[in-house]
Amino acid sequence: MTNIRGKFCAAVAILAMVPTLVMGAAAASTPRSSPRATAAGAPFKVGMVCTCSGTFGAAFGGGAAGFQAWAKTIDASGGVGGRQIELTVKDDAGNPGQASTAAKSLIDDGNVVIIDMSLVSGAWNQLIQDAKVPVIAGPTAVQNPYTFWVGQTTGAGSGNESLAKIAKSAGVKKLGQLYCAESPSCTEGASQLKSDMQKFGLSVVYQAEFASNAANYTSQCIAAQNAGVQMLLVGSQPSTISKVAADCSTQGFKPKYQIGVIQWSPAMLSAPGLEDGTYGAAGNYLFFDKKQPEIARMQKAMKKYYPDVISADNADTPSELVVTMWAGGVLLEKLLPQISSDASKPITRQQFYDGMYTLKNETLNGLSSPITYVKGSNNTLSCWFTAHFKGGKYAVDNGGKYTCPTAA
Amino acid sequence: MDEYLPFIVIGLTTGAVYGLAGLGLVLTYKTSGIFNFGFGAVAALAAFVFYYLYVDEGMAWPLAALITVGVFAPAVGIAMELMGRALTGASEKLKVVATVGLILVVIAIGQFWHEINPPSFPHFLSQDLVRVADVNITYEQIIIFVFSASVSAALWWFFRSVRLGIVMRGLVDSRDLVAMSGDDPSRVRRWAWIIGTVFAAIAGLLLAPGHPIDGVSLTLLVFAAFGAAAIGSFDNLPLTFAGGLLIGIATALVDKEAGTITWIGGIPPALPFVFLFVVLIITPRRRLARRNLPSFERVLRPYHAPLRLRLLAGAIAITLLALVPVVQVDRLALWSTALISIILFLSLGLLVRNSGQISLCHLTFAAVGGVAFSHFTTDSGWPWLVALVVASLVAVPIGALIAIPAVRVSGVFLALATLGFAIIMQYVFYGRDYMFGSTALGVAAPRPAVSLGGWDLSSDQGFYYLLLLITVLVVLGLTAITSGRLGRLLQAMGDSQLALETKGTNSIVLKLIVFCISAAVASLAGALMSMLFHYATVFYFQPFDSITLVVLVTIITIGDPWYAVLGALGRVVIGGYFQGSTVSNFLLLFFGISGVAAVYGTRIGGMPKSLQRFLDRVGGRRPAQPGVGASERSDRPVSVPLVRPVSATATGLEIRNISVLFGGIKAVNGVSLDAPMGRITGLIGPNGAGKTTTFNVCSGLIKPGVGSVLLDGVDVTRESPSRRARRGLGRTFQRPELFDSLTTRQNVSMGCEASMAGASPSAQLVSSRAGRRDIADAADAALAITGTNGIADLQVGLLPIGQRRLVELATVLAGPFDLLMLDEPSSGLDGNETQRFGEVLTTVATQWGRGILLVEHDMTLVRGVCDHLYVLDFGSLIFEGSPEEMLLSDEVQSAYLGSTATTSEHGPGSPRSIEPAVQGE
Repeated sequence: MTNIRGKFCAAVAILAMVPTLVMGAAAASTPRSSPRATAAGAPFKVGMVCTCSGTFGAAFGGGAAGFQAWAKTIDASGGVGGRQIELTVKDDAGNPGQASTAAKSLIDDGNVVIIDMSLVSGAWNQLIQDAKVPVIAGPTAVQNPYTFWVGQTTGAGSGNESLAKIAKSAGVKKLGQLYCAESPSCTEGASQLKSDMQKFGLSVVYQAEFASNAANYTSQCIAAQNAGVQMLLVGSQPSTISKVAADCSTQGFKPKYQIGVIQWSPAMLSAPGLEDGTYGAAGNYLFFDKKQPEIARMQKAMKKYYPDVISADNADTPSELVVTMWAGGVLLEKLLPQISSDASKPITRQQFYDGMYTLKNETLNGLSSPITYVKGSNNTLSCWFTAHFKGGKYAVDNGGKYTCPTAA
Repeated sequence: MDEYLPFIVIGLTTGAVYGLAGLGLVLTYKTSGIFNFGFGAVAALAAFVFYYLYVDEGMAWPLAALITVGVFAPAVGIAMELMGRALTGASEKLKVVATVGLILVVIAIGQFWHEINPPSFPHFLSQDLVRVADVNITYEQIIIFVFSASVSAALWWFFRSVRLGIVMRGLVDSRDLVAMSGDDPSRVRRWAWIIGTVFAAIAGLLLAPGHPIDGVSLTLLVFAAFGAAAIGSFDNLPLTFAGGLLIGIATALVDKEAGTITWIGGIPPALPFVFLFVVLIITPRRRLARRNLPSFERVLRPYHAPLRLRLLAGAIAITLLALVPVVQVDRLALWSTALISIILFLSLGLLVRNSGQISLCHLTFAAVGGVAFSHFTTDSGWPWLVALVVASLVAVPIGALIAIPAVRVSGVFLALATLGFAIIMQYVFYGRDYMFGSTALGVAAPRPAVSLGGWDLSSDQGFYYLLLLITVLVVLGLTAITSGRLGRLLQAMGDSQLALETKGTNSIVLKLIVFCISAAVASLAGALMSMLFHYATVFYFQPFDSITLVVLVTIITIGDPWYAVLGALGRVVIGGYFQGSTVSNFLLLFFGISGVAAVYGTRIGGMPKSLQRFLDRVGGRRPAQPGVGASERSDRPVSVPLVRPVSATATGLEIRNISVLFGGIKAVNGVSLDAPMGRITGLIGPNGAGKTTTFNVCSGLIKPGVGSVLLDGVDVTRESPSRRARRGLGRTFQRPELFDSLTTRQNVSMGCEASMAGASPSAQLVSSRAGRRDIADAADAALAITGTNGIADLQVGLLPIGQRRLVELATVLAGPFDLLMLDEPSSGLDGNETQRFGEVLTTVATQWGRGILLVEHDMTLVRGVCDHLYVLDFGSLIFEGSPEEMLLSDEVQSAYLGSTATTSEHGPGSPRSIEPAVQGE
């Protein structure tokens, strides 16, 4: 239980900060099924539990659109190995009860795999284990033997190492952290930060809880400045992060910032204080790098099927959450032909589950660090990609190569 | 000090906006008597308009601001004034519901406008910097501070020196007085609303930059103004502004210290409510009650169908609900939630509908139950049933905690206190490990792993039937409670707490009981909700949802327990049958509008008479006999058997040398008088002489500065009104204090039952058969002697003033009161009625042996019935003696009677000054 909670906490802490993609949720909030397969093969039934409405609906809905765009792209091109993707999306609205009902319904309907875009995955964690249904993890998924990660696992222990390594590469030694009071998930990560950073020779000199709807954040800025903070970690919604940076900038306090890439939005690029020297880690390859072929393919599909998701972010770059979901689709694309070459026969859950363990160093066309799942483990991934803001633009770090924890 | 100076400067700049918002809030409250809970919602609405003009339409900000503040805000102010006018004389509950309904309306508009990801707009005032006390301040902040401080000073001057301001101050206290001074009260009030709304709009524009433009964010932000208003005692404008500054500084300092003292991190957003809560606890009740005027709203008596029909309807409802797992298996969770909502509504209805209290923290009670159950089962390993029962009881002390402000204040202040409690709980406690912990998922709350035969309680279907069983039990339990003595007392308290207390019931105990029961049932609902979804999570217990609950409980006017069923259908089921949030938004808008218009609903609401007659006929209820007219009654003999002998130890009432100061004015000055048993003692004098004040001292509503009150030889000066009533002191009021939703018989019975209930929790909860028989006998006798038998089954709130006075007399005659104090009882009676009234009084004194202290202006009545008279003038006794001696007194002649006294039918009542407007102060 502790493990689940810890894992969940860290995941939700990230989600509390996810950039919002305006129209994505609207597109995904209504459960949809793709048209019946036109290919000769048996359709591959995929379910998705999505927090597509409510407070985090915009962010999760945008992520869901990433998988939906992949499914439409695949179906339009004749399916995977002759199979159409039959996708059913169920909205849980962030309500554990609704999530549980949605998951049960998807399980009962015979979906082979479930895509987890739910904020409250813990509510149906036991259901999928009991039914032995494989799950492709979103950022707030719960670790268990049936859930498979396609990007860095939040809360797996590597999160704070990525924070530390990025801070060190940015040349800072003193960190500060502001975390939101509204989201209960913010607190737990904070308690671990100090001890984790010490292991890497860094000190956390300032930590404080704050309200996302405060009139201003000048007090926190001055307190952090007085404490000698060189890099500030801010856990809140993008608009609040921008406001914090602006208020600090007003006080002449311009520390470096470390904000998870999953939180990045184009509006931040021009925010006073953030435009230069904002760093972050991403669980999958960086959403803004059009030179990467798979990212380019994803962006093309998003423009075609969900242009609002892209335009809503006021740029042609969907968020990192979309990449994670697209990567989940790419995983199916790689796996299904391997599992069964006979498209007329339906693929069972057990076949799919076993098939996951046949993947060896699979990078999902460069969207992930190499994946090799090991039976009996929790199918987690621990490597990350890094990026930063430079001159008001996104910049790829480390040549686009992933970084792994010391022990990995 | 240097360390803190920058934070003080920052706090001042933020606090100035809170102060400005607080000014507008207090302004409208001072002038309309309506505390606008939706003040932040109005600010948000202004921000919507500004955003539309400034961002969407690309208008220059000065023009956009001018249109918002100069055109839109006054228009909203005029609309608010219309709402305020409709609420004149309405209950405090309806005033609160109307303004919280406004919040729901604005949230719904915001969600329709930007369903997700609400936008924000940048700062439009100069962001150039100035260095002050080691902190950079923008010109925007300086402008806001100077503007807010200037406006505060200008308003202070306006209320003291400008005629319109002075008239505004007088408006709440006496609309008629304003009219008499040549001003149109509506015009004055309209201006007050316009100014207040303009302030809200300005605050909205100043606070909004950088924040999401939605209904919730700005409403929450402007809640800080509530704390500022509390510091200003909801009255003092400069102090309100200072309160805003204080909250700003305190927030900045807490933010500073949050880096080293981690547990205070969640406090800043709740800080205004901490101030508010403290102010409500420590401020003298007298000051808080100043704008809490009596309601003149006609109270509708809820219709209850015949028992046979109610049982039949109940059986049908249970049958239909029992079929849900068969016919709606896909929506079992939805209907399970609906059952829990029924329990939640019933628990809230006990407070809001049955006792007239307000709770905006009801889901907080439920949250306590949810997390308590979870921790008891998962952490402590308790069996589910034990955990469920104890989890329900855990909320009882919290209910008692909330009853503290409820005991001291009511209406708007209770609503504020409960809202504050809910927000403090959310920000400060929800995230702690002993509550929901640090995950969005919350804490696990397992269903019972019990199987009874084929009934598996942990399955969806089994748990649904368990919920149905518990819901039926709760309905039966609460119906039993509300049908019994507690229910009658609560309904009476809802109508007039003053009347109930002066008849012997300790309302503190009563409020404690009802808050504790309500909290326990809500807590049960919270535990069940958590079990239903396997987790107790903050998702189910958001403070803003408590507002929706209160609005629904108020706007649904059908009887118990059907309002709860309808409320659950509206809140849970309808939305659950539609995907997406459009229907939910429409429902929210509908609830909000209904809340705003609730006052109309309660006036015209209720079941149509034709339908009532139909149901009565179908249910086998005999139609009520038409009432007997006053003229018929007056011919009837007045002699009735003595019901209860006067106590052997009763000697009557003595007051010794009492003095009462109102401000610097001595309302009563060293008055002593005796009102022995078996005698009618008159207390007369011109208006403003201090008669009612003396009465209020005797009954305990006012504590005298000096002097003592003795009842049957016992000093009762420091005792409460209810304690004195139980000692045998009964009274009526200048403006009859009756239980308007009850019938005449129920009112008269309450005259006896209220003192039986007394201060004992057990006596307030249940009554014995013998006790009920005694009450019925006493009521019969009192109805007979006052000739009110003919109107026994009519609702008192609908009776004319003459009959209301007779009913009030009957209530004190039915009670165990040896000494009756009657305040102008013949006012509003015609000649025949007055003559008969005098006969009743004489009978009561001579045959029943009771003592009567009578305040009366009708000199014919006074001379006819009084054995002994006291005359008051300017708070001092100027005469004591028989009626005949009084007529010979030159001093009385010149001060009160004048030359026509001996021939006048009715007393002189010269309006030399005005008695305290609010009885009981």
